[in-house]
Amino acid sequence: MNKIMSNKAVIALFLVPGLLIFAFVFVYPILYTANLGFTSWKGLGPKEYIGFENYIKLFTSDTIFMMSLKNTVIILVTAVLGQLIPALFFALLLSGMKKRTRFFRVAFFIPVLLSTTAIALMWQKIYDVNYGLLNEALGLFQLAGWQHDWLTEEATCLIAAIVPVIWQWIGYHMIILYAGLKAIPEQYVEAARLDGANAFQTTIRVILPMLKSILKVCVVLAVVGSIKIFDNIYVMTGGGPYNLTTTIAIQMYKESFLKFNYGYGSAIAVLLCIVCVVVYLIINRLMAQEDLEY
Amino acid sequence: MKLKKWGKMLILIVFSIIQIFPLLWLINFSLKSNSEIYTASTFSFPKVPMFSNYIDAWIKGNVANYFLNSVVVTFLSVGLTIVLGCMMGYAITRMRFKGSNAVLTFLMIGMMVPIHATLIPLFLIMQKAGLLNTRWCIIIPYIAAGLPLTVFIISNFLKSIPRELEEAAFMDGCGVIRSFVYIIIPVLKPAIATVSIFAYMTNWNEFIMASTYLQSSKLYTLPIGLTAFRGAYSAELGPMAAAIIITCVPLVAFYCICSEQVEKSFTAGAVLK
Repeated sequence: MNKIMSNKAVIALFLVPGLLIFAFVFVYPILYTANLGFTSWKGLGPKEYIGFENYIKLFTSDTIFMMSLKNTVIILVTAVLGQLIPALFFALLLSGMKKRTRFFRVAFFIPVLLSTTAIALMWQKIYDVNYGLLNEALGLFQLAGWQHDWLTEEATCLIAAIVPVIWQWIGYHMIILYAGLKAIPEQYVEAARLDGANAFQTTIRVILPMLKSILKVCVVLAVVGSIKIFDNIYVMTGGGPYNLTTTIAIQMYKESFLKFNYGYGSAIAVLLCIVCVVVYLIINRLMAQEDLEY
Repeated sequence: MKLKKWGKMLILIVFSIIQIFPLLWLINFSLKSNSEIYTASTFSFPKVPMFSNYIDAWIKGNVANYFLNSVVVTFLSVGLTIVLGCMMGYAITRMRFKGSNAVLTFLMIGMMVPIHATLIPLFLIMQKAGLLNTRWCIIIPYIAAGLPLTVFIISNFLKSIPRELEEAAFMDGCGVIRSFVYIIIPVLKPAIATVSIFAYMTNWNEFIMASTYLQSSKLYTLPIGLTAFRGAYSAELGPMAAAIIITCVPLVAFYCICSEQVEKSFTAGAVLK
């Protein structure tokens, strides 16, 4: 048995193809990106190393990048709160119900499945001034004063770009949280009730602490997803008008593949990576806890 | 108490309408003619449903072609991810060698890195390797992106399978590869289902890599095809909406058939991120 299971040839056969592809797609490119970030390379000729100049430029003179940074932070805060709070609320509502949860779960979950491109294009139509759903619905409720050209007006474009993201992902978090809630054994909740806790107290004191590790998963998903956000917004607005809806990832893409500033784009990519990892570690630290056994 | 229950119901119903209504509205929209879209109320039903919008999108708008590309790319990438992932998962959990944990950690770290950071170099590598105008330039990254999750779920699942299952086969002189193919793979089916659903959904919808690497419209997958469609036929509103609906149908249909399994996959996929 041991001899069979330590057959080097078989181990290599099983591991090497996958590892090669993985190294080819992730490891080598990331090192390459880190390296390119220190150059001014534009795709042609030899690479000229310029030290930290790209990074200095990003933070001192690139106002569009600063705008993208600000937007990403706004998206992060609104999208995370906008997704998680309703998701938790609905998951709690659903888990309290005995029957008829299936319909709601399906209804909430369908947007999660759809491609972000399809959703972005759909919302473009919803926001349209000529035939859009939103303005006409507002008119129907006698709120014509609220009508806007949502995606092109400076005041509304960013929030209009965030709403579809929230709309799409609430269901995802809800399903994850719902599964987590269902895994909590009945007797804990029952015991709290017997001790005289009302529904609100039970939720805050018993259910939420037991849900913490699942909540952490949702927070990480929502936060990292918002930091990396690209296609939802890029397809809808392309970062416009006047770069008002641009994000870090959109800047990276534009610099690299529209302006061919590979070096500069790589520097943004490196920053994006660092931010993701740092934020991930911070969340882990903040929400650290011993695993509950139940 | 009764009132409270109905209140809860009402909140849930209002919210499900918010989630579902835009899609129903879009279906309705996709059956209208341009003049109807511009003149009649957006909430009205089409006088005569224009099913021809779907035919226009499918044939004139090249959606048939994009759809086929998506099917080929998704199936190849998911299939290969599963094969490679099962092999790696098996080697890591069952075979004996130094550094099996290191391999797993290595994959997990890779999963944390945003795909964006690999875009430029991969683009250059693909260009050099002459893969830029083939399907492989997105299939290979999709496989790599799917591997960590697959390996993780497969090896976790394997840990719950008793070793005795194979021992008997080895006694009878069966080799590792045969036992892997004929004994382990069939047992792994539920884990494979979980992983492949997740990979199928992600790859079907993937945008950023496909839009960077696919240069010829002949190879476009649906997400890129949709943006190309918008560029080329911006005035044809009905067919555009029809194209969006066509993109969504396979996923929604699949979900309606096996919703429990899909939800399970997504939950499992999330827990690892």
